[in-house]
Amino acid sequence: MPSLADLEAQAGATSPAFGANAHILCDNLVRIYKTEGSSRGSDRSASVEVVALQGLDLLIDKGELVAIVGASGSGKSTLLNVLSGLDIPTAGLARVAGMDLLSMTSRDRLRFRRSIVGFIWQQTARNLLPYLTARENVTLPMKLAGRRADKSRAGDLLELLGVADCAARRPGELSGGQQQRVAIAVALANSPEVILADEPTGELDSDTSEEVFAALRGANRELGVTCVIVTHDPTVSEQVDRTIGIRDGRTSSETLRRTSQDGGVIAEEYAVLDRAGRLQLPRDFMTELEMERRVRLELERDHIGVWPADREDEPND
Amino acid sequence: MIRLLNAHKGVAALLSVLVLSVSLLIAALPRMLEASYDEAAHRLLSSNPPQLTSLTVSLSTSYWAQPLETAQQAVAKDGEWRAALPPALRQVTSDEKLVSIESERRQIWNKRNHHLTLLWVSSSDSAVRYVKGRPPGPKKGTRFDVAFASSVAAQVGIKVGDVLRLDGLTARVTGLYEPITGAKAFWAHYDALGRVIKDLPRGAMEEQMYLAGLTDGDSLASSHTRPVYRWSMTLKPEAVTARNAEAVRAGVTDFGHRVTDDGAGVSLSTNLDRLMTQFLDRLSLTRALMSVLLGALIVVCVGTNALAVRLLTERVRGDLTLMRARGASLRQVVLMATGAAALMAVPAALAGYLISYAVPGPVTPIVHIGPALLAAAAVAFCAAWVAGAHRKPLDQRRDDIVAARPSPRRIAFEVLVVALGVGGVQLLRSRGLGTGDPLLAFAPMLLALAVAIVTLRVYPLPLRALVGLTARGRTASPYLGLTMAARAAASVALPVLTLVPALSIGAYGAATVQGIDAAQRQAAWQRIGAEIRVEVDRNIPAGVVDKIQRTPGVDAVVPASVGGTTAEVGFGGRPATLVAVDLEAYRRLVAGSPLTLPRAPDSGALVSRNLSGMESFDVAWPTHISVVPKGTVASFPGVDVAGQELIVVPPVKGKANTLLVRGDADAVRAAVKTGIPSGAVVRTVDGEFAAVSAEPLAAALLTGLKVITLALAVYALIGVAIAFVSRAPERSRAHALLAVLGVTGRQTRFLTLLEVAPLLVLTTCAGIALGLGLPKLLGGGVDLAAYAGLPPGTPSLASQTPALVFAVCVVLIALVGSYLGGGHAKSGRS
Repeated sequence: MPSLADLEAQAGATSPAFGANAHILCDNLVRIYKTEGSSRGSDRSASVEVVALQGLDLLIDKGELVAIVGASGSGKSTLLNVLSGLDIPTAGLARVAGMDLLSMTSRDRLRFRRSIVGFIWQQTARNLLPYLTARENVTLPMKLAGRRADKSRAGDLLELLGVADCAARRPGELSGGQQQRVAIAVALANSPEVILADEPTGELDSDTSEEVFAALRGANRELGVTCVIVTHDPTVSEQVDRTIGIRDGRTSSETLRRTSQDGGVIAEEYAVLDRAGRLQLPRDFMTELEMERRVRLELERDHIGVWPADREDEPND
Repeated sequence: MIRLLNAHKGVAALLSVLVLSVSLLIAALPRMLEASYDEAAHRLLSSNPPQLTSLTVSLSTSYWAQPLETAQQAVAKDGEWRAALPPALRQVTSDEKLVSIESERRQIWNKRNHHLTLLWVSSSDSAVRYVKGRPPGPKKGTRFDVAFASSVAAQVGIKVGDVLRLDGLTARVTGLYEPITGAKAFWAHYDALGRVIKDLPRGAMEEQMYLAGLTDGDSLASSHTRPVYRWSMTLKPEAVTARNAEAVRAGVTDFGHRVTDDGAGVSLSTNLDRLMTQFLDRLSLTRALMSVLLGALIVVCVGTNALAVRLLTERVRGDLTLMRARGASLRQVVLMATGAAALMAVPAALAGYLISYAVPGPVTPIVHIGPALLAAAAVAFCAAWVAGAHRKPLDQRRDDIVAARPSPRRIAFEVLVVALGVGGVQLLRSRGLGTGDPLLAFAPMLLALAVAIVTLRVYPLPLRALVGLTARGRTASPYLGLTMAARAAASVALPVLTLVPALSIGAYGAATVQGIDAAQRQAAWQRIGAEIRVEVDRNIPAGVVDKIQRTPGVDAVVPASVGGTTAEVGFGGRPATLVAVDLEAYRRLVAGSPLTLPRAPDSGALVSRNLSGMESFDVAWPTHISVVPKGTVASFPGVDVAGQELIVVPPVKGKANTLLVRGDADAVRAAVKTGIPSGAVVRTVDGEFAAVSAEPLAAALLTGLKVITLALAVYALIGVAIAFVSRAPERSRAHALLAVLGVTGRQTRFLTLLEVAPLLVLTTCAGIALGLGLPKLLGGGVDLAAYAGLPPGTPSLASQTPALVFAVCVVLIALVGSYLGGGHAKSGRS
């Protein structure tokens, strides 16, 4: 039995805040797209809302290489746009490298985009200015940030990513894989703490995907940059330390990978339990057991049992 | 920045060419117009005799005052008058001194019906050369020396040594001279020194001869002949321009106030102020009309440039979005895009401005300001557009939302433009166009913008109805095409704001050109009275008329007698102009022309209102006839009644001095030359029309109108083309999808046509309605009759056809272009 003093000390002690040490933190993040009104239809003045993120929680540690997976429309790209400072969440908490994305001024947001994060899009052509060479593309963010165009750093980055020989070429003269690797170099130009990549291998074949992912992983390991990759590509999602599943605007599952003693990779998939105790059951589990509307929970000694509700027990409502 | 432009060089070049052409147009057109205005001022002043345009200060001596006793004093006085000239007048008058002393006219007693005026002119030594005798010397007692032009002396029978006896004095002829041809100003002012003036004063039985002779100045000044002193300051017509005309007119009034002194007998005589008023009245109307059209052109050009800038910013949108995401601040992105636009627009505007110097004409402020404003507008629009588009780093445009609700600020602005447009036109109707008020000159333009705004607001309504109708139809193409048009509704604001003013003011311009043309043609017909008019200074023999009638190429001839006579009514009768012609034959001759002839009475004559109360009266010309009034007539084609009475009678057999002809002018001229070797004048409607339309102000206005109307049409089409190309990527994607679903190339072109047609048709309807309504809205503010020399308020014969043709041509070209361009979009080449 704890003594009264112990209880007092326990009550007085401040418990660590949720995700206090995380490099990327999302707590109950909400993003609603809203327009003032539509000129079509009978309800012309009604506002149109699309809820892209519905209370998403996410914690990523510094230096992690994380993949985010989910069906189309689940909110992956919205999350990435929020984390990159391109988009502002409607509610909740979002913090990247200690910077609160909701309370930032536009000047802070600009500084954040310039030096804290780097971004890579799916479309290879969208990442680079077509009329600049690879080296010039890499030095562009430095110039935009008001720094001197460090050509040696640009060369180092291109070399790190295996495209040093492409430095003087324009994007149109590069293959898709080379373009994406140059895009990674561009994202790394201002030494960001976080790299955010939206389907970076989406337009590439499997071999090239492998090369691009290897480049990202290399940057992660060599430079210690936290990497968050949104992907559908199993060659990517199955090779990261942690894969986070998003469903309906919320994190639904996490797959952790570790190396076993015999050198093999062991992947374990977990359902995510949020701070309010909400849990998303995998859809196929629910389908298999015909779980609908309500389930029966039973607290056991070391686990909680989830049972389909008995049909005859259901009240007539 | 240069690489950015290089990557989009097509659009960049389009922007550059547009700005260059617009800047050239805006800088060159005002120069050309100003040069025409100056030419009009110059021609008006040159066509009047110099003594009418010069400023002449006269000093009439009285019995009790003899202010100047020597010619030298009179010459010195010239400096005083010139010192009193206002600066504007000093700049337009020559330094040539023309000082004269003139005696009163006296009868020569020893030469019947002859009168003599003694004259001394300061510069006569350089204007005459004595060919006999010597110049006049000082008077001796009451005997003056006098010299005459040798031609005058020969005509009236005077020789050197003759003594002419006048009232109270004598004049001895001491010399004869001939004019020196170089002294133009002298002879223009004192042509009486070189000719005999003949006159038959009212009530006199015999013709009187008036002579002027040169005499000694000091003698005249000191005589008791009550001389009149004159100081003439001749005008330099080329120095009067459209820009200083107002100052010259005001200067004349001011100078008059300064020098006129009724007590001292000093007065100023000149016609310059009247001529300047006449010129300025027409100039202000011309300028106002051109301001309306130039204002519209500037707005349309700014709109077209804005469309080109928008196209450029749309093309670089991806690049700018990437830069924004890579850490570029809004200022950096705006500077990048604005710099690129400025790099194309500013040198192009400068080039257009410099090329405009190849167009002769004075430089007015708009020449400098116009190109600079256009370039600045293009750059400013680019900055505003890019700032708006990239305000947030992430592009959040959603395809499923057609248009957001307009902001209250925008609604307030639109209401303001509509109110300004309607209010401005209302003011214009009450005050007239020629007041020089810039708001009034821009009122039609504001109204056009107001109509464009209303069109924008109304645009979705018919479109929605059409989409609803086509949705029930069997074929998918109309529905798809109109739906695509509806989806493009958000981006039609700029094209509509450009197209409606272009079409409305262009249609108004086309109607005005046609109106002036019709007024000038009407004036030419009114002055000539037939297709061809032959006037002879004597009676034309009947055989000659028959011969001309039978000449190949001559369709019809109506002989007439036109001349002055006296209607023998009351004491002394009334001067009248008489026309003896077969009215029915005349009506047939001019059938289909703009002329309206009175119907011939069954018997009797048509007379002016003052004579219509008479039962009958006699006239002596062309023969003695008795006129029985049977109707009234106010005017008659080809006849200038000049305030006299007018009498139209049936033809008088064997009497004709005028032939009214329809046929080939050359054939008529040849026949007249053969039949009437001398004294015949042949005038044609075409010749008169050419003379009327060559009048500088009317010609300048017509040229300006044609150039601006054409430019409006061209820029309207360019605007449509840019708006069409702006949506090309989206259209290409839609067409590619539809092609997969089985839509044929022809259907694709039809879809494109339907996508573009609602915008074009609606803006055309709005533009045409306003263009055709503008003449009515402007009321009597623009009287085109003034450009043809017709009386003010003459009803215009202008038709609406040219305005309709203008707009229909623009729309048809745009629709055909869209139809053909639809195929390109499908193939992905747009």
